[in-house]
Amino acid sequence: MNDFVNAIRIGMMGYFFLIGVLFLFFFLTRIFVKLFSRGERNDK
Amino acid sequence: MLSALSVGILSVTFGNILMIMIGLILLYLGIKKEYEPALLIPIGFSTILVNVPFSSAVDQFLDGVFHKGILNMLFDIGIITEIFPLLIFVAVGSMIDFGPLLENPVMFLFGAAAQFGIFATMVVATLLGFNIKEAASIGIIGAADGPTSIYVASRFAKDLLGPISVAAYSYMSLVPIIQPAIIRLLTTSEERKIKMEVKTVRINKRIKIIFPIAVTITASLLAPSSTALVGFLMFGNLLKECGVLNSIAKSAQNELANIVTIMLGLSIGSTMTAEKFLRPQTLLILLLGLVAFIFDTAGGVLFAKFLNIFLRRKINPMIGAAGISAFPMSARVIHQLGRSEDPTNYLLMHAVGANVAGQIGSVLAGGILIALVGQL
Repeated sequence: MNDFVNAIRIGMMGYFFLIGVLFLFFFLTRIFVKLFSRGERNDK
Repeated sequence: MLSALSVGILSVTFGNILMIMIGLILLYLGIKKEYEPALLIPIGFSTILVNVPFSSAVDQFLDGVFHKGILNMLFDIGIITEIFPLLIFVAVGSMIDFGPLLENPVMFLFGAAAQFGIFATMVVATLLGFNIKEAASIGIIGAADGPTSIYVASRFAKDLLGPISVAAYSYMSLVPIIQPAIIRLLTTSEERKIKMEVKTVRINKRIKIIFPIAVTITASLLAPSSTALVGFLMFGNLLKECGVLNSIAKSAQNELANIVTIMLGLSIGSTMTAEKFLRPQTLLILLLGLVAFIFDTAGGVLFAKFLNIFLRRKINPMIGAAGISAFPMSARVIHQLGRSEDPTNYLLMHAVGANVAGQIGSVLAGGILIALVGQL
């Protein structure tokens, strides 16, 4: 029972933390790509 | 004298015969069906080697003297120390092109959402009687990423390494069967026909070089326990993208990948002994592995549908399923599924973006699990 409760706690914490970290990656990557590809648009 | 030569035959048990048959089945699946042959063939062959009575390939006492077997030696050198899975990450990193993800960074979100199966399966595993460390090792099958599964299982449940690895690699090769069924169940035909805008951002060399370095630093600061996993993956990618180590990058993609894969497969097979594998737990692990893949796919698809509530330009929810890290198989499956609904729909680059995001998501999930479960 203790393991089950821990699994729920860790599962929720881990999953939402992961989503948070990758959301941060999304945000930072967008800025980063915009910053470093300024003036470079692909015509295709 | 003759009895010394026939001791092997005379000592064969039912368990040995069954395990040798399992080894043969793995060889059959690898050779005939081409299910992850690079791993299943070494694992299958090694399974045969360890289940021969008095096999000199494994640890044994001969006349009271301990002899170290080559397979146990490989296991100690490569798995216990975590060297083999990490070296595989260098090889994987050197094969990945993060371009499609950089063109469309929103795909990062699916790389996270589709890891749902890891955490959900961990909870289900505790309900079936596994302790939290075993449950975490089983849940990580849902990473759809063999080296991450092996890395986490070698920390928390070494005895379960055999069935966990077999489940991870078997289900990865079954992605073309598992994912379409779940996707069809959770989406309408109209949703599967949604077309997505093609991004026109040009990703230059400088961005591709900075990206693996930036991800390593950011991920390591946020989740230090994932540093080794993310770091080796990104190091491999940097070898490829930096442009000045082409020969080394090619070695990582070919020689390193091939050699370590052989070693990894053989050492995993060393855990496939009758006493460790022929247990009811093995069947549960194989079942839970399937559950993890189903939850992953469902998590990704449902997350995309959730995002669509707020978005003006809708995302094809099938893209969410590509957020698992089975690269590039999952992306191909999603693309083909999209084309089967509408032959003019071209989802490949979006799916590849989600798929490589899943690679980052799965190693991060492994690091997060190690941090959270390790402190208990």
